[in-house]
Amino acid sequence: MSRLTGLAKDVSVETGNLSAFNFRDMGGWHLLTNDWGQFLMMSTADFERFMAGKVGADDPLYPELESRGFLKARLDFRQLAANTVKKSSFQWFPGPSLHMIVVTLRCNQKCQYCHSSVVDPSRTDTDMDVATAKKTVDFIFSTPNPTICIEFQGGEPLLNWPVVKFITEYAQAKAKAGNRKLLMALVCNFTLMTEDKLDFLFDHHVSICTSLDGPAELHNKNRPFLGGGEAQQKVVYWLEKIQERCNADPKKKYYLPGALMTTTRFSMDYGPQIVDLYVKLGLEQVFLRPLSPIGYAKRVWKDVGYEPGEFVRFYEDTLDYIIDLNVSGKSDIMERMALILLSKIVKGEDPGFMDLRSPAGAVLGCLAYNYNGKIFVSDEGRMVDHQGDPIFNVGDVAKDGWTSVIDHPTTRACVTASTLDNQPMCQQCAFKPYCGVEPVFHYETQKSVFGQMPTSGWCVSHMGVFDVIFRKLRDPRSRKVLDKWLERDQCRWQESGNVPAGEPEVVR
Amino acid sequence: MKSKKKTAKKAPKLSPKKKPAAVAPKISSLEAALTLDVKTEGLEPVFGAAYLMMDKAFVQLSGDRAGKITVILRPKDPKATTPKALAEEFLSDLASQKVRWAISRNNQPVREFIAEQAVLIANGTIPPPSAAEAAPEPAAEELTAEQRAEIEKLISEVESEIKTMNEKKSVPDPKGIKASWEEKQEQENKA
Amino acid sequence: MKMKLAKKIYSKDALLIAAQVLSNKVNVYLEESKSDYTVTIEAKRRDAGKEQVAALAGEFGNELLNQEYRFLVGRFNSKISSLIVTQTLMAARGGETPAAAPAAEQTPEFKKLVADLVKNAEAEVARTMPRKIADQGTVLPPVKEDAGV
Repeated sequence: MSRLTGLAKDVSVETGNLSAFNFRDMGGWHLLTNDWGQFLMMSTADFERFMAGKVGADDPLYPELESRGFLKARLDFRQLAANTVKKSSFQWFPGPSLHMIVVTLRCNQKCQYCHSSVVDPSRTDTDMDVATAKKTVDFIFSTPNPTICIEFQGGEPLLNWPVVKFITEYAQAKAKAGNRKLLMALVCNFTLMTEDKLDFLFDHHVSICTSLDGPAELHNKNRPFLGGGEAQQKVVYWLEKIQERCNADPKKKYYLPGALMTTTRFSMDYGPQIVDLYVKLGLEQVFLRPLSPIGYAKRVWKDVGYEPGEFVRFYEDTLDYIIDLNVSGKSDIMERMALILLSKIVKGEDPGFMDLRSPAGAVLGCLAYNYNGKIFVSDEGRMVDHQGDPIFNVGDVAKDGWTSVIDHPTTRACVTASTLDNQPMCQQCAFKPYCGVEPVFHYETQKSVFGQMPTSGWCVSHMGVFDVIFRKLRDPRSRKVLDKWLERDQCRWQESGNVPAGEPEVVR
Repeated sequence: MKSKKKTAKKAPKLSPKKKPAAVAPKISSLEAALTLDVKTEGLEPVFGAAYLMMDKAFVQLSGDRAGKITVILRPKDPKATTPKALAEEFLSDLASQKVRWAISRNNQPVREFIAEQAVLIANGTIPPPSAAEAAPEPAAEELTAEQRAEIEKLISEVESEIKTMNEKKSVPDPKGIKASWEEKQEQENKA
Repeated sequence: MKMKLAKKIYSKDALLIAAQVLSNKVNVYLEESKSDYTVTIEAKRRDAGKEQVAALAGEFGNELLNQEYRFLVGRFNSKISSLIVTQTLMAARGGETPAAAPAAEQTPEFKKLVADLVKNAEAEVARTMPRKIADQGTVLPPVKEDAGV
């Protein structure tokens, strides 16, 4: 059976009355979904009755099938269209909201998997200069989305602190002058944080995120200092310090720092310990992210990488642990990937996660700006450029306007390739309404922005995660926990053009 | 809900009186070869089933898209699978692909219509469903004449749309791509 | 290794794209007759054995199928996918011409604020950034095809 799964032998099928849907054999039960974001989990026996056309109007299944758009003669076109509008809200956004500015390639760490392909801290020739920073901000404000989120990245952005400050203040001045909503975020390794810097960031409403791969022995193995040395202690120190300051001031509550982990081969044995550390540090969420073989990580994949199936096992085991913690009351920590998928599946909303959109968020939702002013479809696209292939470069802040970036052939190729109706396997997949493909990933691994889904690691790992999530949704014990997570609605995605309620005061 | 007026025609079951001859794969130690009649199996299902084998097999097609296609499957890893297993899996996937493609074809106009409606709602050209429109339908006995008329109108609009799509003669259709799988089966049975 | 590919199955477009996709691993030579394409697959690695060349030819065949089926699916869904692609690009574009800079940015006060920000930032850069730049080091070679990905 292919990864799409199939029908059991000799199942009687009467397709004439069936609406458009995709199905999946989940082993003992079946999942139905449709393009309009509706899903239904049913026993295999019910599924076979449905496929045989034996579900009549008086059948207990009938109301559910009808209300979710699985009966051809009973479709509510307007409602299904409205569902589509809601679930694919990003398709109507006026341009990108997330702008990632790489202010320097310099870094004081040498992470095993570093995509950014960082350079020595003395290489100030890889710093964004003030003139380029100004042009970058000008370009960002020339894009049409009324909401702008600027995210500082690197290398280690704190190594180019003067430019971080300049961009922050200049962008805020422009936001005020132009009445634009502006969010700012800094992704840094915390090892260079100081009280002065923290004061500036708080005063200017810049939210802070760091990388925390897990307990010291794991984090330090994944993310040593350049020249050796242990960094995890510093990360934990500043996480706790920032939390202390945030918790002491109600206005700062929204600036509680976030942490992200990257899963390497070494992480596989540390799932519960990673979660325990996040719980101990009072972090609300842990994001079990796979590593992508892009840029530098591709070179070292044999050392740090793994098969997609291994990641899915790690994900399921760790998610089980997290759910157990929630059920037992020991913690209410959430898993972010699950939250993202649940927002899509259960709430029918787009949570603003660029990678799982159709079309993908490349250019449409986000742009990456390199230290030299070159503009890329995404940060991954920038990493491909750093390895010598400029294919994902779509402009330059010094000479290009927004229209030439959106009209660029690479932009169109990425949009076309990541529209799932153009993907042979995706168009028949039960996870299609909630999934997405990433053109840069497929270019790097399969030499084509379209990719080849039957052999795609992206597809294997994402289908695996979806399988896990739907199994959890069908399990009442897990479902209770997942529903509570959704109620808390902690999905404050800075990437999203729709800024959910409860965001910090807007800088105008 | 019961409607006294006509509803969409019921399509025939996918169990014709004359069953097509089972495909007999030719198995060797290196590969499996299956020859398929495109008119019986459908072009897209054949390609689809072959495509889905790509993770386990090297796949090559020969023949004629309008006539017979031979699908040759060679295991990528002879230790992981055999040509016979590949052939069985291919046939199983082919059966599923036929159903999936039949569902897709039968519903393409509706999908396109709803996609267009979504754009019109998002752009403000037509309003989204109001709260009243989204309210649950009353039980069948309580339907007013107006509600019945509205439902009939919607059904006939969609049927008309489907009919228009099917009647479009702008592109010749010698391979009967536009015909649904059921229609083709009916024609086969009559032949 | 030679492969004979029926023109009634495979198109030239698919051949060209498949050859491009695999261009880091193989050289592809194309001949054609009335009914067939004859494709010669040559591994770029000189030490590639018979089995490896056969595997590369198999990959080429798979990529061909990938492209052909993609064309079929693309044509089938063209109305919907065109609608989506056009809609998202048009929406993202935000209109034919970009909006003008807001009037508030043209005031002398704003310009002075910006000039001061620039001046202060440049001064801080000059004051705080390292002066000596390390050697660039060896340029990394391209990733080998068997990087284990």
